Amino acid sequence: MTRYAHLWDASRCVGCGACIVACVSANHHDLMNSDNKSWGWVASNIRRVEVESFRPRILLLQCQHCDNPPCVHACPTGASYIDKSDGLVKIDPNKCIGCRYCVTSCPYNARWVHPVTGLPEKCMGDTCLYIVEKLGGKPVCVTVCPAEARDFGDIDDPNSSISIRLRQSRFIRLLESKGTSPKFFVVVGP
Amino acid sequence: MTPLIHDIYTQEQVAGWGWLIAIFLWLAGIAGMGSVAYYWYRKASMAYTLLISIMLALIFVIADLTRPWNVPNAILTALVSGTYNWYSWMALGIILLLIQTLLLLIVSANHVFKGRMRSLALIAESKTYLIILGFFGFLVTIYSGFLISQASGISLWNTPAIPILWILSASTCAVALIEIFVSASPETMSEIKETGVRIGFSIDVFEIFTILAFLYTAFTIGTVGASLGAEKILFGELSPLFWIGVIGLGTLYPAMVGAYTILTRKINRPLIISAAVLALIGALLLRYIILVGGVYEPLSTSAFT
Repeated sequence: MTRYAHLWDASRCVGCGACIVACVSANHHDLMNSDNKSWGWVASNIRRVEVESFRPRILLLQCQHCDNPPCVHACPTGASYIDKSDGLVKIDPNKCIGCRYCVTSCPYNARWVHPVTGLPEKCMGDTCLYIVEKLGGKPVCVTVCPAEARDFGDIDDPNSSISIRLRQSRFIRLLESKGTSPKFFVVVGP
Repeated sequence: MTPLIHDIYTQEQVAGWGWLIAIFLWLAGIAGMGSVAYYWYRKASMAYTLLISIMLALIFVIADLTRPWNVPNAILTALVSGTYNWYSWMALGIILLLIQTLLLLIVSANHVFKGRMRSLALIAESKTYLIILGFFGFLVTIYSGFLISQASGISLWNTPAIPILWILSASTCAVALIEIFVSASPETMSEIKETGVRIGFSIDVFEIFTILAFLYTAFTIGTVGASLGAEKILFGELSPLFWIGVIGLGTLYPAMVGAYTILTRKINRPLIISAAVLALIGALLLRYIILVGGVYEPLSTSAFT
């Protein structure tokens, strides 16, 4: 079975923001000139968190495509669901009533409300899904990264680039104590 | 070195649950525990108030949706395709609210016809029906609590104290409603029973204790997000609303009026009515401050745990 996952290498990331901008232009170009009011941020599915302890560092956050996603369990109509063919957490706009229960249920604060459609947006956007599903490519955040700090692929395939990188790295997953089984791997060193 | 927290996001900012949802929860509580109280106070005024409350609750919750036009299509599609999520508290709530509306509609219709429609009266006045009405009322109130406590993004809410608090607070609303109706006319004033006042007083005292225990625990040993939320309520921007509105006027004042009534054995109409009205307002404010006090867990401090 295919189980897609994201990887972000904190030790390689230079914090240029290319992934964030690419996400806006690819997935939310209708909001290029307006804000994502939920986060007080650009209309990107990626959120930047700054941490100042011992030394400054950043954390790039997005949907963790959890294997046990609270947003899916909370959704009354099944609008948020796990696509069993690829393991990604997706939204079916036809079934969404805009209750935002998924937004309050996400421990990662990875969803934001589209100001026009009222949809609870998150990674991956329509364009990225199209690239992955129809063209067999990788999401735009991965392809634009100049430092190769990002990767995406099938973690059930031992020969995928993401599986190889995970085998060669030290990595963590965020808020594992919440029991969400996230598929967003933060590489912290070789 | 203590980390500087840069990513504090409030629930209200991100999800936008504010007054509309607070009023919805409040009205659902009034209709819920009011339906339980209806077993003992079966007057038309009570039935109509409960029916109006639950219908308004439905209007408010729909008004809060960002895609309200899609509700019929979404629910129908979900039911047909088998994706309606029976394990979601939101989904269960939709069903419970609709059942309770129907149950209250039958009770109210019986009052409209003054019991002259025999078949309707047989159903609406039967003990079994009143127990079912009360049971579903209790479930509606419980649901409105679990709806919040199961939202795992907001640590402050992730406690069983919320459903308990909602039950207590909605019970004070039910007692307050009865007190208002009974006090409305001097002829029925004598119907205020000492037992009722004692029950109201006990719930008020227990509610104050539960509110403070819930917030104290969240503030002292909760996660960073829960602690930030509790701090916001206890000492921050929500503190005037909390200490004056919820604790002072919404619970302490009604408790003191209850104590005065029990000790002096005198029913003072203005005092009883003012306490009842303030208890109702306090219950609304309680829901509002807990909703708006919700803060997402800052990942800058807890991401690596």
